[in-house]
Amino acid sequence: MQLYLPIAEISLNIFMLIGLGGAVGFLSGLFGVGGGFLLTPMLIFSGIPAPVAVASVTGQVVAASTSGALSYWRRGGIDLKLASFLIVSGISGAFVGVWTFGILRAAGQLDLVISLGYLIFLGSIGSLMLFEAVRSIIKHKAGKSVPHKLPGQHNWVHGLPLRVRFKRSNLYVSVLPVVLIGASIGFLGSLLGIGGGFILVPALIYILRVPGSVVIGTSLLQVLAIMAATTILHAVNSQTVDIMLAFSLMVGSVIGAQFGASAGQHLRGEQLRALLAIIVLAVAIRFALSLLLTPADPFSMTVLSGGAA
Amino acid sequence: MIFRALAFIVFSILFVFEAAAQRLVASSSDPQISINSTFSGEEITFFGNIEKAFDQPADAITNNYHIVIAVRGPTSTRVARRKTNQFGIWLNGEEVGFKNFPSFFHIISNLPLNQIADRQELSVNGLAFDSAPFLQPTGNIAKVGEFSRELIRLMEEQNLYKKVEHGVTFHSDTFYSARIDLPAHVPNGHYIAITHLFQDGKLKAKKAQRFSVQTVGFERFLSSSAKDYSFFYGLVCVLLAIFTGWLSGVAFRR
Repeated sequence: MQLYLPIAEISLNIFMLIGLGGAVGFLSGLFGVGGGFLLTPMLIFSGIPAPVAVASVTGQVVAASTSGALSYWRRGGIDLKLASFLIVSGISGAFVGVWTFGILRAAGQLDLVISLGYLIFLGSIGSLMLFEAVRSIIKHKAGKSVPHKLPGQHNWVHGLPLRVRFKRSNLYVSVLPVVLIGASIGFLGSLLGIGGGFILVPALIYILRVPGSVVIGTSLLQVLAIMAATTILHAVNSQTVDIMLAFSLMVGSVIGAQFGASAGQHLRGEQLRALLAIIVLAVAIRFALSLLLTPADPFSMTVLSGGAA
Repeated sequence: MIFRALAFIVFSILFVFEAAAQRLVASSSDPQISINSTFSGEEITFFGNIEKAFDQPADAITNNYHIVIAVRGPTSTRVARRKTNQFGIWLNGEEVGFKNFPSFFHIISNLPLNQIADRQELSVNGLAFDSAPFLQPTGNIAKVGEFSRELIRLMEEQNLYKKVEHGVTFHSDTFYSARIDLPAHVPNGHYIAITHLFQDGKLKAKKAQRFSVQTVGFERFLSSSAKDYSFFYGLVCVLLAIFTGWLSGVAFRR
């Protein structure tokens, strides 16, 4: 059954879209990530214009993070004060991101920046994750118990000025790194169509030393708020949010996530991380190929301004 | 007196014009194409009859007529870009913009165009994709030739530009019909279909018909609210997402 997407102005099979959302939802439930970083590339590879893909996936990420954020909220696993700092800075980052998005789109370099951005972030994070996961699998095979690396109580970040107390996280840190992390995630998320959870969680753990009990919930709430704001910003600024596309993806992904979560209980942590790292690297390599290989057709076209609608 | 003189002039102009040409009586199957959620392309039939002008003798209608129908969609500014290799990375390097570029252009004829009229005659009548009115470049003028060819090729690959030779069928010496395939991604807007009657390489008559392609119903509501009420559109999208997420959290409480 073909579904006409009013903003993308193409017809796609509705089952393909729900299936795509379902597959990505399954992976996001399995690995506990938002899935935007997989969904946006897949939509681009299946022929949806990159601006529409990026903007519509932000809507899907909102749906994907809502149920998670709610369940952490009920358990009290959210540091509201920390989240509000991250959200305010994140929304300002998103403003800059959406503004940059518009400029790059008009200059014809949006696809390039999206490809480069994915290549750099997915490539570096995928390599790090794979390296770490393989190391712990090898140690596991050798029969040694892996001593969980306990981060030191303080690093240079904790010496910065403008310190604020975050009671729930048991932290007393400078707001500068908090604001910087929030703004970077907002900027990247709005530009690349990713929630940024897979960057935010490590940043909160390793840079700010946020305790594990609140890190996931707080990051989910931040992703939810930033992506909600980004969806509205994209809708107003570039008018590339396709609600039909976003809704098909949401329906698929929230269902897929349930199956992914239950499947994830049968796999060990480091195996999961190695698997996720391989998927992340595969997407990065796909982008690298599109940048490095001689294109089959060097010519492309874009409509700059519409005629009579 | 003046009125009568004017009427006479108008009448004689009409008379002279009609005397020089046959008439075309033309119609089409759908004056309005509606795009709804299950739109997967549409076919329009154009048909018509070649008739003698009022003043012509009955034997003015001969045979050896040729029909060429040009269907053009709404225009927009379109940019053709070429990827060039810089620092080992392929990125969009050069670009040429084209103003008032038709977003849809099909030329349907009963014979290959070069057997109907010469290139000059076709081009003057707008029956070539690269006729002057359809190529108004901006910017890098030096590369217009190459980029316009490539742009037309890209449009042809998407079936937005197409030449259909033998697409017009004559059912008698004077009665013809033609079918035009609008693809699923046909752009919205006002279309014009101009039917040209050729005989012995010369244009004898032409007739324009208009039709429009519009998204209708819910899809039209969505695309127009995305433009006109973009903030509320975004807000509704977010609320829909939060509701979907909440519902799934309730439905599959883990």
